[in-house]
Amino acid sequence: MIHLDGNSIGGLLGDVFGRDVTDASGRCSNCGAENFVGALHVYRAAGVVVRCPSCSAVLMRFVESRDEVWVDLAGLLGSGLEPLREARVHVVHAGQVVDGRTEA
Amino acid sequence: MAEVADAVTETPRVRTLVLDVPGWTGHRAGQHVDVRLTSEDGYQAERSYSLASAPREPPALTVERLDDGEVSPYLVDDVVPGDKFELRGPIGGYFVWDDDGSTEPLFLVAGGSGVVPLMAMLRHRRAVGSTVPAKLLYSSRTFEDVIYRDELDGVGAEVVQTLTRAQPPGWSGYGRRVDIDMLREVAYPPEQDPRVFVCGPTSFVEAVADGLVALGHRPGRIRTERFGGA
Repeated sequence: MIHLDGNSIGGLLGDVFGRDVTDASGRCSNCGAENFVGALHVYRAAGVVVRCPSCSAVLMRFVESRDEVWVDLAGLLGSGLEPLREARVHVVHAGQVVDGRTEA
Repeated sequence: MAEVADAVTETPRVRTLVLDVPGWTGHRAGQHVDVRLTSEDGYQAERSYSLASAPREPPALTVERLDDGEVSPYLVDDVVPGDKFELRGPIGGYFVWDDDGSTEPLFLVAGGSGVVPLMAMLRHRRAVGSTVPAKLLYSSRTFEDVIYRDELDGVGAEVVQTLTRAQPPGWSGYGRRVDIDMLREVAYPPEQDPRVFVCGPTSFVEAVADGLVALGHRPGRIRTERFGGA
């Protein structure tokens, strides 16, 4: 499966974080590699999986429905990125929705 | 919503759509937009397209038709001025070139329609009168596939082309895929620490980026934008 760059999901990321974050940087929780979000590897299927360019560990996952998006950022460290606190953005960690909102 | 103001045929497979977007406040060279089409039954398809125009010009998308695509055949073959579609953007702060006063040379490497965001950078450079040295290495399949063919001569940068499938009689450019020997001959040497932007299909981008790193260019100076099918 071929991948794209983090840059290619800039629109989705802008919806989740409320600003352009492709030139923000973060650290891989597995190998420690530091990269710009725009340079991460993006795999698109039913959802969006963002992997470390160095070790391929999963850094971020996004699942979109028509009006909502579920976000798992557990693999990306030190980015300072905070998803918007909006009803349409749900933060997921270890399979549980952890943002205090009722799971859909 | 974006309204198509003009449509310009670039090649048999590629068309440029000049858009009128209410509230558009400009963009940066290298940014893209997401185009979303909604069918009558509510099915939505969304694709990203690079902005081709310089930041102070009206937004323009150059789109290549992918025959099995959901969005590009409509944009290349069907859309007429006056048609409207949903647009998100401009997007991206990573694969962009601003005229920020830095003096290192700019080396751009394009595969096919990967030339689009790089052309926005060259148009921007020309529009602002930047004196930063710039060079474009541009790979196409055939002469007929070369996008912006007439404008490349006057874009104010050195343009080196390669045609990978067929070359017209008297062709003076390269006639093979971009390889490390070509990069060695064309790229600014690593000692000049050029800023490098590479855009094209994934396999093209991988080969170029790996080649440049092998030649001694710093990975951190190489920014890539891959595009996939459909």
